[in-house]
Amino acid sequence: MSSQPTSFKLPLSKFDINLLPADARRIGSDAFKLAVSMHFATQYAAKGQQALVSVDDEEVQVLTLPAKSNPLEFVLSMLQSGRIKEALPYLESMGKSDPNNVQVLYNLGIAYSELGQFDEAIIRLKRAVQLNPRHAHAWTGIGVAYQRMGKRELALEPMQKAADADPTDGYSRRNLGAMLMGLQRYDEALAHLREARRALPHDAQTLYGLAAALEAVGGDISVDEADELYQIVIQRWPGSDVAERARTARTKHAHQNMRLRVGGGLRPDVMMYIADALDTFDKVGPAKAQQIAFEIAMKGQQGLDINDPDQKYTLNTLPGKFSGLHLVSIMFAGMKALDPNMDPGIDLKAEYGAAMEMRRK
Amino acid sequence: MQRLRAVTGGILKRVEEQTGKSIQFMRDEQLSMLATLQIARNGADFHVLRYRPSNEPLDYMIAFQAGFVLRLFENEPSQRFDFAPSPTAGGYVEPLLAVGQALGPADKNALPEFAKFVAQWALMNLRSLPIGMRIDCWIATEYPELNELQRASIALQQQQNVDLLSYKLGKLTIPTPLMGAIAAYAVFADRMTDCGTFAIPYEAAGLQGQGRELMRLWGELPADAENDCQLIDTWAAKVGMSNWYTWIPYRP
Repeated sequence: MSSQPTSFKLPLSKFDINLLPADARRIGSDAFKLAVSMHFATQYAAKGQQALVSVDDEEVQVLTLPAKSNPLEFVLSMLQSGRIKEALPYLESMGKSDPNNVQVLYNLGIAYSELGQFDEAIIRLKRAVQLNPRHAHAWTGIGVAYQRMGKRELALEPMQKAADADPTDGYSRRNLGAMLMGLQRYDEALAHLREARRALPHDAQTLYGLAAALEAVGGDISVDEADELYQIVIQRWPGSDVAERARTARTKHAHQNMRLRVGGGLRPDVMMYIADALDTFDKVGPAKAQQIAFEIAMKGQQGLDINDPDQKYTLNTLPGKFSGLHLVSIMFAGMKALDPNMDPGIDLKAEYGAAMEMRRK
Repeated sequence: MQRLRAVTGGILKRVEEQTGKSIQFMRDEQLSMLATLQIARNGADFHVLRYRPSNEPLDYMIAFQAGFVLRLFENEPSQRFDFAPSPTAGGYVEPLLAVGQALGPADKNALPEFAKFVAQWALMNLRSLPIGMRIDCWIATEYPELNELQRASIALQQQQNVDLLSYKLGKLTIPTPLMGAIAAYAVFADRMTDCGTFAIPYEAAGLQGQGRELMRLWGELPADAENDCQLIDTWAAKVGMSNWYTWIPYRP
């Protein structure tokens, strides 16, 4: 007897209707679909196996498993490996034979949501929370589906219900926090994201969300904490999207600080750094200038602290010690010298223009 | 190549003794199967066993391939034949594909190539399945050490075959009459493995009668290699493929 799961599809047009009761032979009718399911279920049961059967208007899909295995576990493993479309008919089949199974309804809802079929998703998830109002993830799933549909106003309530259903669930708190951030309700978002961090201390999205909320709430202490969290995200998940967002947030914040210190005007120190850098580039030539700029850019991947005046950085391509702002100024000058349209990620155009003007004079 | 089991080495030695030529091993990353055994011809001094590097054991596949060579050489030289598909076999498939349905322009365009593909597939089944079943019986009886690998390989082959029940290109699907050989193989696989479930999809597709009939014919003919060509001819007549190929005398 085969112990491996097997699967096959058969177009309905090829199914031998003589195998079905006379009153179930109209292809596509409910009686036909039921009879086809029963046919395979009994055939495989007679051989000590179980069959999950899904019949739609075009074909029948059959998944066979050893009698003692758990079909839901197998189908969930399909979902986890990204085979969502393949798993869906079998989940539907399970949902039909066990319509009050909350786990099946929840997974159906999430599968439909992942496939962009949000109405179908919401129907299943609402049924799941009707049967089990404490299913926090199903409530969150409803909120996420509404959010993806662009119906933000409908997304908040289920997300709040998720957090109420299980206040210790970090996933629900994180999603509610993000939702509140989008609505600019920063204080409330911050409270939920702090709870989320307690439950999910190693989740990059949670740490990033909390940092963003702290930054939005503002105040020196919050901003410092936010910066620490951004740095953690950058260090722990290098190369990830969330790290890139954290890096962008840090750069933006540092840039704002830098300008604030001079009342929003030109930074003469930056202008001098740039003018010096341009002199150096003239001496060493474009190839070396490019090396210097790229080395700084690579260093910048880990974050350069441009608000700390300490000369704590060194380069392989250039002798001396530098502050973060000094390095960023050199990099800006190098990149603009290579390609005036390049975006170095920080706006020092005014200082660059002033430095160029000063050198011309 | 990976180390072969002693039993597989013994089978290859038998090939060398029976054919009077040695076997050379050749690694081939592009091979679609795990292993093939190409008979020495046109004055070549050795047979070539091509294998694809794999963690899966090759022993059963090699034994299976060797079975075809041994059966050919069990016949007297004058009774050895090559199976030669007709280059126009696709022409026989086209009407089967078009029957009972109105094809759109895209399907009509694809028809000749699809027909050619189906013809090649059906001819390969005709040539390899009935004799392959004889070889499987031989392996099961004489080399029980390979039974586990054999069962795994049969199960894998069954999964590949059953996928063809729903194979389609536009509106074009493999015509039901040409599915008989794989339905027969499913019946055989159920008997060989005590699984009992391989034939279920074919029964649902109305093919089990044809499969059982081919198996009946297979069982009626003696299993000796001298009947191999007749076995194939008998199956071909049953599924309407008699004109799709010829036998030509084997030339070493």
